Amino acid sequence: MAARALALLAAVAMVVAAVVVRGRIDDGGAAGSGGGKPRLVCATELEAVCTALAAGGKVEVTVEPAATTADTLSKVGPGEEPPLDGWLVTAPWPDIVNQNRQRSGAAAVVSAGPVLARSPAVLAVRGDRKAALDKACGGTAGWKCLGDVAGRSWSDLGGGGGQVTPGHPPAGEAAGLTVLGAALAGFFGTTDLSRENLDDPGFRAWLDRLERAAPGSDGSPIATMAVRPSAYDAVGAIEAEAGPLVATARDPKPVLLYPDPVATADVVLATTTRGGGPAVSSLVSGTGRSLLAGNGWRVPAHPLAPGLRADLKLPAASNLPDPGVLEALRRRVEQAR
Amino acid sequence: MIPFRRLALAALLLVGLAQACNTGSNGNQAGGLADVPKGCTAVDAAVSPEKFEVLTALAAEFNQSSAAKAGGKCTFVRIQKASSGAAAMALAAGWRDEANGPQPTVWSPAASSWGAVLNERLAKQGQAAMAPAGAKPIQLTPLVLAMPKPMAEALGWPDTPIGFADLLALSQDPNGWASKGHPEWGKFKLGKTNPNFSTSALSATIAQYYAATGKQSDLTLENLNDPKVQAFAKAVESAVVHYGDITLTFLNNWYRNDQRGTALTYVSAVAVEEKSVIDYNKGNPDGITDPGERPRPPKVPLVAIYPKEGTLFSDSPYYVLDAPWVTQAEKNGARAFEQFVQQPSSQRKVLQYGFRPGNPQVPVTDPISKVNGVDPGQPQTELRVPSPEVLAALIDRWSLDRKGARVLIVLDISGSMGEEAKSGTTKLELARDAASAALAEFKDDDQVGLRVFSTGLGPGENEDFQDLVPIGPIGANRETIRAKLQSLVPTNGTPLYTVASNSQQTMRQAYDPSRINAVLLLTDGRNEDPRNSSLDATLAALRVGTEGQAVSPVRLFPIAYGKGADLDVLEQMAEATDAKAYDASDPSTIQNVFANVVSNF
Repeated sequence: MAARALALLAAVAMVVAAVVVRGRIDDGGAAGSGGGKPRLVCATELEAVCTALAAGGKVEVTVEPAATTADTLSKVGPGEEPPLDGWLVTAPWPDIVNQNRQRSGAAAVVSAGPVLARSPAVLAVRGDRKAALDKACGGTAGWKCLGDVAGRSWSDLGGGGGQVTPGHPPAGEAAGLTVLGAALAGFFGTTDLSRENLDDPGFRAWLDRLERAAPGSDGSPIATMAVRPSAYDAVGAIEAEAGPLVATARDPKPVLLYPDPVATADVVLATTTRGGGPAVSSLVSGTGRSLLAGNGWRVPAHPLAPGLRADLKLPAASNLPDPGVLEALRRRVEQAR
Repeated sequence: MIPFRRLALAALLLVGLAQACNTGSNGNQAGGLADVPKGCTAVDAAVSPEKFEVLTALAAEFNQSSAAKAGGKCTFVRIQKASSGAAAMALAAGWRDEANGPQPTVWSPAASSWGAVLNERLAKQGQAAMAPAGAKPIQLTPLVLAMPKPMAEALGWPDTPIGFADLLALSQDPNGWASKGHPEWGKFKLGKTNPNFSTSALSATIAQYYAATGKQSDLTLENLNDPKVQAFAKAVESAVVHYGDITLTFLNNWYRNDQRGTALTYVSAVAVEEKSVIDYNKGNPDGITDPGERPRPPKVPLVAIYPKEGTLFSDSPYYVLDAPWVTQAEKNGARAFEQFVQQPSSQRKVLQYGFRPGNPQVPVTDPISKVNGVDPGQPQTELRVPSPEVLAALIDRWSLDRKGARVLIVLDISGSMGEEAKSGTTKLELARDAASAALAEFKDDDQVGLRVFSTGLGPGENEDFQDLVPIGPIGANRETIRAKLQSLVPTNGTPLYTVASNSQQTMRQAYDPSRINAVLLLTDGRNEDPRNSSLDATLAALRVGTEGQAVSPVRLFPIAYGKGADLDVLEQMAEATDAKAYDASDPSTIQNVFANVVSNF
């Protein structure tokens, strides 16, 4: 009888051990569900930076599109704890969250710190199409002109076969909203815009044309263009990603343009009321800056990564429209697709 | 504690420990996969066949590298081969069938369109997507039209861009190649696989419908229903020699014809991936170099035509699946392997196999060069994969627009077909059920007949075969053939040579040039007929009508069924008619094999 009891105890112990080992393997070796580490959520564009930050073992990192985090934070109820300590993303996503919450009568949940790094919005144009596109634009290609000619036959524009195919990252990504915000400002020639501008018939027709001609992309059009130049003729991107990619892209190599007014994606760390904010902040403002610089972002007092234009002067501010306008633009583009 | 409960507890413990350690070291070697070293996390990757060899080599290298032991954890990658369409279907069903191998952490189909198809199927079942957005390509290869160089030159290549519209015009020209100064090449003939089975065929079919509309994106249901578009598609399909499940059938047959000097009359163009042109021109049409094989370049090389209307890429996405069976540890391991695959040294290996690297840091150089018949500066224009809804409709539309078939199904009912194949079921019963199911794949105006063979048939017990259902429209014949199939019983010997040559001759006498003319012959044995035992004479008889300009080819597609069938002889018979033999030596595979054979029509 005693032997049976011992055997049963041993069996139970083995099952418990199995469950514990399984748990350790599943969470990558960390204790429990994060082991008390602060939780940092990063926008997709900052994946490389955050993966390197996570390698130090001091922070638990999740990478997801900015809009996914924004939607989560916008829905945090009164008295609920936000599910993250820090959010590494580009401005004005934290402001979008707080404005969304304000509209529904909820208190702000994130507080954005100073700008850590910047990267201008760029237009990458397929090398062998640039001359024809410039000509069609009556000078140098820009956002407005690209929307005007999107979907037109290249043979009409004197540039070879096929149709003018633009591209941009998804509107719910940090890079996508920056590019679309820059294009919006480019269309109207100003950043002083309101939601009503989105209802302008000329803009609506322009946006429809652009979206109809732009193939749906669930990834990064500039990354696709770098290996498949035939996939796009001109894509919007941020320089941090496009610069290094264009440097090694296949022929016909894209040419990077910086359309006026130059707009920038500005990286910020937004912290929440959870306790891990200071620890995340300390980590990001320390090693984070050099990691950002190494991954193509412009960081004061850090050298520029290869492929970035050295003579470019960035504007004092991001040159993007108001966060509320950008949020409305995101919804409009997602509906159009 | 009763023994049963003791056993149950032991089993529970074993399962718990196996899961905890995730070693797979319980001897499960589904699909011949290696055992996973103790303490390592298994990362099973299901990949499409064309990259099986390169990824198997990279996985072996990774498993031995420090990258597999990063952070003190051990990852062990195992590669299993899974055709894209079949894998999409299996994943949508939860990958439950053990015959598919272990449930994968990573899936890399030939093209990301399959990821969209999977997610669409899951959404229809109310399930979350498994193929995540933003997957990076492992490697790339565009769809091209492979043509013998002299034929391409006759069309103005390389100075004049060539497209589907040009090939359509040539295929509709009653003078055929004579209109280009080459009457000796006969009519224009197109080789194209079946889009239900093959990614290159799916891409070619998409490209063809786009060519009919003049568009390069946003193909719509209205476009597919446009009579002009349908007429264009039907006209292109009318030039098809036969379809099939894999492009290698065409490439192997082409190469064999090349060796005997008839490459230019077998087929004029085949829709394949760029990589296949490189392999072919190196004398390695199947892309696999067996030990001791010494590839010999063809006498007439192929060149890749990048259709001027645009083309599509097979982009080999690397999906770390968001599937319920994938753990975080497996995902971490999969990411480590992805980094290894993307690093320049791995990507240079991908290039060696004839694919364009997915990492832009590795330039497209040799073997992707004009010397090998391909152009790294092409394509100029890309076509967009239509929405999943349009894609599904396009495949349905193709089944109506495709070239019609005229097929004689010839079944062996010799005594050995009465042997048991699996518990309580005979080989004949399995075969007739598979044949019955495959009848659904024919379109109503296809012409199909049923013949059975064995010695001693007929009222006088002196006939070698009997026509149970004469050839006629399957729409009217389908149920009659099914009823006849159900009534079959095993009888005597196997007059294989007589029935093969006679069936082909019968079909040739009423040859219909507007259709794919073929014999589907299933046999489980060897020729057992002393009255006709000459293989050489049989092969010579089968070759009649296959070669030369004024051909009336009747393709013979044999199925070697069960262990007793002589696959080697059947392959020779198939090759004599520029067709392909199928291996169903394991009778339980007959359903799939039958479906694959019917994909040729």
